[in-house]
Amino acid sequence: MLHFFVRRVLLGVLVLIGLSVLTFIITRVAPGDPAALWVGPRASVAQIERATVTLGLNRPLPVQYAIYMDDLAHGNLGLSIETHRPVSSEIASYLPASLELVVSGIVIAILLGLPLGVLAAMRPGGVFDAVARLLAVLSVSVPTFWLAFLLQIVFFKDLGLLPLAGRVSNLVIALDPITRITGFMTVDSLLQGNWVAFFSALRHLVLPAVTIAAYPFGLIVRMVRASLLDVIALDHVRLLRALGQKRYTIAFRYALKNALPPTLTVIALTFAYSLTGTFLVESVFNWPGLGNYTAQAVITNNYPAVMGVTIVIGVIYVVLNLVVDLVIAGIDPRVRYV
Amino acid sequence: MGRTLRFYVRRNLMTSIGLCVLAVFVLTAILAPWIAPYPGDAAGLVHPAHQLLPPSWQHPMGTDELGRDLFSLVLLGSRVSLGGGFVTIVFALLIGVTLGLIAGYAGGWLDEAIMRFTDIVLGFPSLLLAVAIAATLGPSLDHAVLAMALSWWPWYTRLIRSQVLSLRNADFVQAARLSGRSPARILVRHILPNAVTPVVVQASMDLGSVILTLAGLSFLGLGAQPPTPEWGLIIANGQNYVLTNWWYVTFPGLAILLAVSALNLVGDGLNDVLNRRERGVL
Amino acid sequence: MALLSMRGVHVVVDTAEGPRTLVRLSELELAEGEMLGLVGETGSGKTLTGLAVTRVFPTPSIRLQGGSIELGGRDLAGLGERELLAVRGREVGVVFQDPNASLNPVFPVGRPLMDLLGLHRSLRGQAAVAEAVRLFQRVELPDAAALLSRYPHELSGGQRQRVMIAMAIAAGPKLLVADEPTTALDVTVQAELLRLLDDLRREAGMSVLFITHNLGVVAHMVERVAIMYAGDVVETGPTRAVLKEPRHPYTRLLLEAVPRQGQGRLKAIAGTAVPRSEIAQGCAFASRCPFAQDRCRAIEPALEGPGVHRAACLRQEEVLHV
Repeated sequence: MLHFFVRRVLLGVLVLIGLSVLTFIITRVAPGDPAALWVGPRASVAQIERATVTLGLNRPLPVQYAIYMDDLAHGNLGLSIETHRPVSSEIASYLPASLELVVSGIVIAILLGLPLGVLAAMRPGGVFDAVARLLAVLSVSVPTFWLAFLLQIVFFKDLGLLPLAGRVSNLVIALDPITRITGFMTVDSLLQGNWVAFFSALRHLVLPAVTIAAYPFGLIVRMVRASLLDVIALDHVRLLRALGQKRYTIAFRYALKNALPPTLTVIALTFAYSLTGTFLVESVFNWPGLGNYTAQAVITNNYPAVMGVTIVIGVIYVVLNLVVDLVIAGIDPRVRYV
Repeated sequence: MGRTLRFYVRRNLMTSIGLCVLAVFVLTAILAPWIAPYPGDAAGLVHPAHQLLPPSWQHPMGTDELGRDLFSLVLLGSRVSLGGGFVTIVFALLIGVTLGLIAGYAGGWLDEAIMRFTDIVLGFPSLLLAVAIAATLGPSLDHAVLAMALSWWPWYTRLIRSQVLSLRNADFVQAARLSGRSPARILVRHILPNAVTPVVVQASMDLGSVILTLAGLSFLGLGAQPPTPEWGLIIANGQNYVLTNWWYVTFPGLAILLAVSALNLVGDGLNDVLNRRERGVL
Repeated sequence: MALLSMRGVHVVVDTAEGPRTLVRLSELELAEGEMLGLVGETGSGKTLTGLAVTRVFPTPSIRLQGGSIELGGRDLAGLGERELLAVRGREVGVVFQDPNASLNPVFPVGRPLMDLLGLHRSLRGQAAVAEAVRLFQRVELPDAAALLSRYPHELSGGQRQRVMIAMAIAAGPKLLVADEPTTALDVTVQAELLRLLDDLRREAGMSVLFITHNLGVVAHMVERVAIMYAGDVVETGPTRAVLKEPRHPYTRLLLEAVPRQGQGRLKAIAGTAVPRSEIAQGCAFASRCPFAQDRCRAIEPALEGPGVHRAACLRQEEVLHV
């Protein structure tokens, strides 16, 4: 168990080092002179040369990498070409909005996907199973940004039920603003007992969260269904059936726990995927998060920002995978003792 | 024949539907220039008098802000989207299979180095990597395809390596080695043909995801550039008209949804056939 | 009086070419409080015959096609899934062959037992714990209270098998179907488990259908045996009589295949078992039978013989006197 975990940590560290090398190379080989981008299109040659020195671009590459790594280790992701402000603080200000979105999306996906996957596996080949499978295929096949537009057309334009975009209504911003504590607006407004703001934030969260939920939902349904079908074929499930245990008890209380480890791995995977997915969704909903920030950075060739986001998501991904490994060890006692 | 077909279709209804839809898309992609009612619209023709018309018999999917027939754009876009996805997969296969063959056959430090590198690339989300690479290379369809291939190959390396490992000591490989064949020749002539099937199957199952990613990159402005008719790009162009002209983004998105769903259904079916096992009941 | 009476039980597996017969049982009876040994090779259909009582088969493609399965006068074959649910566990307990695979690895071994007690006997909380401890003690598990919260991988194979038996008898069933419960265990543990089953049978007046491929295992413990071949019973009678004076050539060959002390090599039966579905007519054993004649390949023999010792063989008198 210890050996297993040390291995995973080492692999995680290796992935992060690889990531840093990769992002470093990308920023250095990128077409276009970062120094020139830094000072803007109308700068003189002298200004560009001064910027080259300021940014350390005149030093040998290994030295540049060493400095880059040292900066990374201190949480310094460089300066944004756009704003000349530290990328790390910009990311810190945008990340909570994205996390709120992604966490809500994943929670929706789990709450709907887990039971649907179990119910589908209980009658493979049945009508319910067919519907669940079709839903799952559609939701992993739908382009998220298009789903976002579709939801806007239906729930904002046609039904008028939910707001079009933004995190909270202008009225709330003007009259009763939410003070930032966690950066999750729904949580902050609750902490402050600001109910009007809470419901506004919640209503704004629904469409983007559902959009984000689509892909993980589909994956979870498929994963739960497939691994549950495998579990159901095992002797210990058959024994419970032969001893008269109820189908729902067997499925939800027993077999689901066996099917959980692969499902958790998939959930961790989709968390990072969804964080990247915000690149495509946030701009549609004018959601002031990491995805919007990155989409902007991509358009303006703001490499330090793109690479900063890449590293942050990479770290989240690696850490999440480690956490899942730990949780799986908690579920399956055999992993703990081996 | 007829009876066998009926039996198959009934047991694999979803896969059969997927296959039919897929066949329609492939035919469309091949025949698009001939069946598109206004093929010139994809080549830069504009009709200011016909801008933003709702769906009608003349324009089954309506027109865009330049008066171009969206139906024609979607039809011709199938070539770009399906073709781009296909090329991506082929590139990823080339990289992945080459590295996997080397790693599996060479063994030792080379194997270790290649596999650790593979782990690293697998260690973060492929869309993220594709965005990072595409953003660096600059926006173009070719760069998007390259970026996706560069983030997609590790899966195939892993698969082919495990195949090679199981074949490395097979009798026919030993015989080839003893008769003095070069490692490259052994790999290509003797091992590859026997190792390639599962990788190709996996690759065909990934095609849907790749097409989806390509559409996403184009939507971000990192993929196809105007006036290339690409589904993701059409939707990006239409985003300012979402609330006023619903058909503009709806139909190209529907095309993506249908094509990718069909590919995924067929992939699932393929997987079922290859990994058929007795299932339990509850 | 017979507690269990199976007649014409027909079990099939669905394949692309249509249903294939796995079991076609002429008859099988089990008296109240009796332990019957159901003996046969792998693939003889003995396990499926046992499982047919609760209709819980290994895969969905295997199903009960017809026949009657009377338990205490009620035909289980005619019951729907919902009514069967009340029979499973309560009237019929089941023990499987593989103790390693038959307990869920991610739950403490007491958990499914207590859930069953809640379901069948409405025992919850402390009452369930107390009864679970009593049952664990009943199957002679050491340190019963502490064992409840242990995981399967912390127990030995024999202990796991006892846990399974505790689960099977939790609701006090009238019939216990034990599918090769001792096969995966070593010989001394086998003997202890057999004795335990015999004790439980005598104490609770429970009938036991003991399924095994090993004639040697049943020889001393079981009063009556039924020998199965290709999905049907070919010989049945008091254990002593069947072992001493086999009337079916298959039983004879099976006995010669049992390893005995002082006998180095065991004789294998020539040929391979032919699936029931491939036998168009005549005796299923004819293709491997040293006694087979033309009429054996034409006429399907019924179970017959003097008194309770009966065999399905046209030439059983000759077999007996060779």
